[in-house]
Amino acid sequence: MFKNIRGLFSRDLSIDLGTANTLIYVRDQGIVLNEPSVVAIRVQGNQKTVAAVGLDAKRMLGRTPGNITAIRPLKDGVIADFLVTEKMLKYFISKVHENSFIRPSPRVLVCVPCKSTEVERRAIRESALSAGARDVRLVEEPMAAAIGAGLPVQEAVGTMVVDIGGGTTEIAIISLNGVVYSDTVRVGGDRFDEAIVAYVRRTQGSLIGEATAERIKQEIGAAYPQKEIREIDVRGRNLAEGVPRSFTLNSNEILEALQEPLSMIVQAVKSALEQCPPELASDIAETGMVLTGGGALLRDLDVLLAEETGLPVIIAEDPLTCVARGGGKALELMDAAGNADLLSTE
Amino acid sequence: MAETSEGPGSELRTARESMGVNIREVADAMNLPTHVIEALETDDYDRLPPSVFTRGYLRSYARLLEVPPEPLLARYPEVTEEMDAVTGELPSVSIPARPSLPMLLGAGAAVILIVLFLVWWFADDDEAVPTSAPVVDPAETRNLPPATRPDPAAAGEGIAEAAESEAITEPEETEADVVQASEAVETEARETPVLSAPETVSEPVAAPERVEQMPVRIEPETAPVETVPVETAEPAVVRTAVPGRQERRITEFGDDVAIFEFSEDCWVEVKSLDGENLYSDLNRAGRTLVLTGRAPFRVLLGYAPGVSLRFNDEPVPLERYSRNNVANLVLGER
Repeated sequence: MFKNIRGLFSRDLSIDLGTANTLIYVRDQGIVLNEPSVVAIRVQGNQKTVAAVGLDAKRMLGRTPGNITAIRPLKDGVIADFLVTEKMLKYFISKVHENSFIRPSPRVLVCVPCKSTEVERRAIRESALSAGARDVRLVEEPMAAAIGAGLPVQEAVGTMVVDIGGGTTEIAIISLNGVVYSDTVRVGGDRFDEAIVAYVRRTQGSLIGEATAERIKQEIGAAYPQKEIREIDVRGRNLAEGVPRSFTLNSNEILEALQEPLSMIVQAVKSALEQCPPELASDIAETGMVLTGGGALLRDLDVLLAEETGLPVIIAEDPLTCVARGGGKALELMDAAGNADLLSTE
Repeated sequence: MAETSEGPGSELRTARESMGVNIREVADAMNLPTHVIEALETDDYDRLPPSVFTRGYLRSYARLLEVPPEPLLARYPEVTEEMDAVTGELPSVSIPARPSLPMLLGAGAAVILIVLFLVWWFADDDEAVPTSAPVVDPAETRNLPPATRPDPAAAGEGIAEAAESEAITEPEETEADVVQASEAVETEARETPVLSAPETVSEPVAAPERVEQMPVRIEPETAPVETVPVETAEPAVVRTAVPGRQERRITEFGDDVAIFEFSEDCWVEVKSLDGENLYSDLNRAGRTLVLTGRAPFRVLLGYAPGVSLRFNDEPVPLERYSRNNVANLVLGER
C-alpha cells in the first residue's frame, strides 16, 4: 500500500538494462540517464560495499587497487550478479528521482533479451522489485527497439529489427505487435572490443585494455572497407619487453580484426531471413531492415549487411537510445490501450 | 504530394547528376527499386514507406553521393518534435522539479487528509464541553421567585447569585467540586448571619435533582420546613428549606425499599451482590435517600453514625455492621 502512495511521487520508467550501458527513459522527459552498467565494489574483510556506480565506476575499470573491483553485473544481456544488479538499479532509480524527498516507487518497464530464459527474466523482475519498483513489466528488446525506431509495429506488415547491443545482437521480425521470429547471438560491442584486443596481441605483441580497444573501435573501426584509411596511435604493454610501447593501427587492420564477430552477425541475419514467413519476407525486402543499438554506430555496418543480404538497410535515428525510448512508448501504449499485456512478454 | 523545391530531393538529384551516376546504379547500390529513388528525388513521400524508412533511405543516399546527410534530413518535411528531441543531446540527469499530475494529486490528498484530521481533532475538543454541559433552563436558574427575594442589599442575594453563576458556569463539576462550592457558600452565609434575610426557597419536591445543586443548605440543627415570609424580618437566622428527599430506582424490578436518613454527611455506595455499582454518592446531612430495587444490596456507608437506615420499613442496626464508623452490610440477603 505504501508503495502505491510512494508511487504517486514517482515517475514511470523504462529501463534498458544493457550489458554495456543502462538507459532510463522517463515519460514526457526523454532519456534522463545513460550510464555504463558498471559497479565498483569495495571489499573490506568480509564486507562488500558499493564504491561507485555508473560513469565513476567505469573510470575505475582496469585501474582499481586490490580492495576495489569494478564489475559488470550483466553478461550477455542477462543478470550475472543478482545483488550487484539490484544495487545498481536502486542507485539509478534514486538518481532519476533526485528531487524527490520520498523514496521512489515507480512503475518500471525493463527490456529483456528475446532468448532469455524464464529464470533470467525472473531474476530481472525480482531485481527491479527489490530496487524499489512497485510494478515491473518486461518487454522484449527488439520490440522496444522497433517501437523506439518508429517502426509501424502494430500494422500487419513485417518489419525487421537488428539490435546490436553491448553483449548481444537481437534479430527480430515483428508484425501486429508481436514477435514473429527472433534470434539472439551473443555478439555485440563487447565482442568487437575483445576481438580488437586479441588482434593487437597477435599482430603487435602488445596488450591493450578494453577501454583502449573501445576507443579504437569508435575512432577507426569499420565493418566495410573504407575509401580512406584512417590511423590511430595507441599505447599498450609489449608482451616481450614488458614495458609500455606506442604503435599505430589503421582502419583496415581493425576491419580484419572485426571479421569474426561481424560474420556471426551477418550469419544470424541471414538465417533470420531464411526462416521468415514468405509474406513477411517480401515486406522486409521492400522496406528493408533497421539497425538499432550502439553496435549500429560501427561505421558502414549497414553497407556490409546490405551487401551481404541484398536488402536495403537503414540505421535508426539515435540508435543507442532506441530501446529505452521504445520501452517508454510501450508503457504509454499499454496505458492507452488499457492492456498491460499488450506488448509485455509472459 | 507534388514536386516541391523545398525537399531534399532536388539536391540529391543534382549531386547524382554531377557525379554522372544514373538512377539504376543508385538503386542497385542501395538495394532499392528505382521507383523509390525517383520518389526520393521528387520528394514524393506518398509513394514512399513510413518516415522512419524514408529518412533512412535519404541518409544512405546522401552518404552514397558523399553529401552530408544532416542538412538534407533537416529539410525533410515530417520532422516531428519527437525526432528533434531524440537527435538532440541527452539531457543531464537532473530533472526539473516540475510536479507531475499524480504528484499534485497526492500532495492535495495529503493536505486534505491533514485538514480533516485537524478539524476532527479540534471539533472533538470543542464538543466535549457542549455535549456534557446540560442546558441550563433559565426558568430553573430563576427558581427563586422574585416576590420571595429579600432586599438586593442582603447578603443572601449575593449568595444566591454566586451560587447561580456557579451552577451556570460549571454545572458539571465533579461531585467534590460541587461540594466545595456549596461549602464555600455555606461558610459565606455563616459569616453574614445577621444580614441574611429570610429566604424562601420554594423548592418543588418534584425536582429532586435540583435540590442537590441548590446552594443554600439546611443546617442540620435547623429543620423548620415552614416558609417564612419576607415581611417577618426576624433578626434570627431562619434558614428553612425543604428537606432533600431523593428517590431513586436502582434496579429495573423489585420493590425493596431502603431509606437512608442522614444526620451527617455520609458517603453511600450500593452494589449488587455481583459487584455492579447501583448507586454511589455523597449525601448531605439532613437529606433523605430512598432507594428502590430488588434486594439484596451490598451497602457501604462512609460514616455510619450519621445515618439511620430503614429497609422495607424495618430499622437496620448499623452499629452491628460498623467498624471505625464505616458500615459494610448486605440488605435483604436471603
